[in-house]
Amino acid sequence: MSGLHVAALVVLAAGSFFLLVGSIGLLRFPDFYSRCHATGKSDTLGVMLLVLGLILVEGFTLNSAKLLLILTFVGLTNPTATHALARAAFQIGLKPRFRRHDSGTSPEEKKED
Amino acid sequence: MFEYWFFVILAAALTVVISLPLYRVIAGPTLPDRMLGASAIGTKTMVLILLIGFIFDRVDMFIDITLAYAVLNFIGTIAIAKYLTSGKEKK
Amino acid sequence: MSRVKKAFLKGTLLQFAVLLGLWLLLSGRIDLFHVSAGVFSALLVTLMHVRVNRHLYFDKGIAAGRSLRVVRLARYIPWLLKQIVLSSLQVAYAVLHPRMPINPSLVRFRVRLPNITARVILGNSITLTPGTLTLRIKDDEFLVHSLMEASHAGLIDGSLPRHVARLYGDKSADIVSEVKIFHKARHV
Repeated sequence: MSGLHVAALVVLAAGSFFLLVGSIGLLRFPDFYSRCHATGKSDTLGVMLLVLGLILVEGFTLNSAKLLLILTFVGLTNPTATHALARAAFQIGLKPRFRRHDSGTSPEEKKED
Repeated sequence: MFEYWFFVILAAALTVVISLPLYRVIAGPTLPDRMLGASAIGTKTMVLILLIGFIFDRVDMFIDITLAYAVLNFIGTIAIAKYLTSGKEKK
Repeated sequence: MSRVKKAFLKGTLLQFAVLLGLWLLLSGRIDLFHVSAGVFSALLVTLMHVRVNRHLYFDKGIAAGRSLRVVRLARYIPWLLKQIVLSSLQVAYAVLHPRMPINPSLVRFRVRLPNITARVILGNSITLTPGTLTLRIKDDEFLVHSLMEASHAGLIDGSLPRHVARLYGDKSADIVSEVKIFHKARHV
């Protein structure tokens, strides 16, 4: 196992961690717009890191160039897609939830209604 | 051999991670929630397809599939976002 | 030749070059048949796209104002990558914290940017920087959803929009104005 392989292992593990965080965030966050934060940021970084790890495994070939293309594409389109969904939701009148300062209702309590 | 098993384990873990947003797709209180879950599943599936390519040692073929899948996932999300806003007045 | 026409020709040529490069990358074979087929396809797509380009450049004014300095992207992209990592770590902290320390709010502001492409770059950058998500872009008015109390600080003092404006060689200090923060959606 060379040093490059160790680096690839670390990057792949970090990418999987961020994908896991994105998934958990999608389940745990209280409203739609907060969930957008989870998929828009964590998933983008997770996929980019995983593809970067695969580039490290693959080495310097034509396949790596194509993988780099995928990496760029995901980095450009994933935030755009998230923004498109959030904008659509805002336009059809889905209201974001705020934490009320005076009564102190926590987001967890609001999840039930 | 080591790489093979590493990729198999990673793909299995990724399958578990992919199954989590499925709950949001089924139970999500609103339509945008469901769509967000579906798009998150699509993003992660891309990586799964790449890993399958590495497991079966046919990376060259599966990379092209992944590219097509990435484009389809993006276009699909945009189309659904357009569909959500069509025919409804802004409140 | 007018400036817009020059930008239009430059953009069309650039589009042809990018399409041809994409073809060469995806086919991966450099022989007479494949390269000539690639040139033919790229030319066909570019010609089909000329009317769209003409609309974008002459009616929508995509090249109005200053043009993008490609050299400055070399400094912007590493900065953006660092922001992506920071924002993902912040989301990870918020997700894994048992009490989930989030306090959502909406921020509305106006920003003076040279053209449409700059707005696209700023919109995507806002989504990728810590704790903020672009909800709506109407002309030069941005509506942003922010996850935590501290996360919209970089927008209000204008440091993020300044980074984007610097891509176009615009060094003026205050381009952000009319900042408003909402904690209730019906006031927007």
